Amino acid sequence: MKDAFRLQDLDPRRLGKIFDQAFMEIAFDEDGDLVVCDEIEVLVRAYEEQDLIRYESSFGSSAAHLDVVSFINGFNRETNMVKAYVGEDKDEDGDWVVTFEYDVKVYPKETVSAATVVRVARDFAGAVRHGIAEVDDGTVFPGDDDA
Amino acid sequence: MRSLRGLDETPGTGEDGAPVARGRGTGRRPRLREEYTLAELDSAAISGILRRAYVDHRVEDDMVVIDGDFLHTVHVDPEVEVLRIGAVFASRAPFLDILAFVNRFNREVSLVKCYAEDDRDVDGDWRLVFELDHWAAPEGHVGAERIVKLVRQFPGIVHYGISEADRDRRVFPLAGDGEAEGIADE
Repeated sequence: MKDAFRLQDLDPRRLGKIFDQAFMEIAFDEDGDLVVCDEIEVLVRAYEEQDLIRYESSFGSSAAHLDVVSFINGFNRETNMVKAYVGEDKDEDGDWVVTFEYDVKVYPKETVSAATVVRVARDFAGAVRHGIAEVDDGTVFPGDDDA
Repeated sequence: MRSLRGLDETPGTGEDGAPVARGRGTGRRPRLREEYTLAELDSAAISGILRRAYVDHRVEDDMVVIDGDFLHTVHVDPEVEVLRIGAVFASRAPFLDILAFVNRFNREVSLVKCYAEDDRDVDGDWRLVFELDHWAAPEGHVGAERIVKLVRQFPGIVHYGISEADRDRRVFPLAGDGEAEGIADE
């Protein structure tokens, strides 16, 4: 398999092959997007119109909104690269949806290597776990199973 | 310190990095190094790259400072292996409004993140930090073109995010009138 990809080549199937070759568990969500199942589930998607690859994980929290937005600010302050935010509305379970995100910019003339695609996913997952452990005292994500 | 070949020292290159005519038959444009490891990207190297791209800036305390629409800085944090472009704005809004703004900003924009410092500054203002982290570890290097493009994009992303996340101007009441200006000392 070739090792340098332009963004438009990175459809979910191609992304899936890259992670599969790296011996990582993958799945596809109901929209057909790739989910990498490592430390946490990470949605990986190339956005051609925005020239980026986005790594994204979301978790529900039943904490009070003020606690959640305080956590969001603390996470963004203490964690490098990855950012967090909470959605406007609660989900169907009545939880706030906290999303963690990191974007890799890939300009039109550039390519991205399979190694980068995989390493960013692994380190993204690690940064999210570490950031939550660092910032949350159990108020937003009371147990490991919740995040 | 790494030699800035092609940026400062290559014969035939002017002060601003543009090639200088040297007579017929010798007019090959000096090749610039395109890729830099993070260790090589000290403030002098970043300054050389920006100078070549005609981005006005100055070097202060090992940081490259760009005084464009607002003050922002470019530097490498070797500990976490990122090239970081950052800006700091001050606001007197209530902290709850600031937290809401931070969340909206992070939800609305790509690439740049925002957070508020824990404590007020000496003027009694809250400090809002905007950062674009380019993680260089996976590739092991950063391209000069990428650095310039990210530096040029950063102010636009921050402006867009503020306009979207602060529509009622609770956090930056006079945004666009000079209120939301970057602070240089971050």
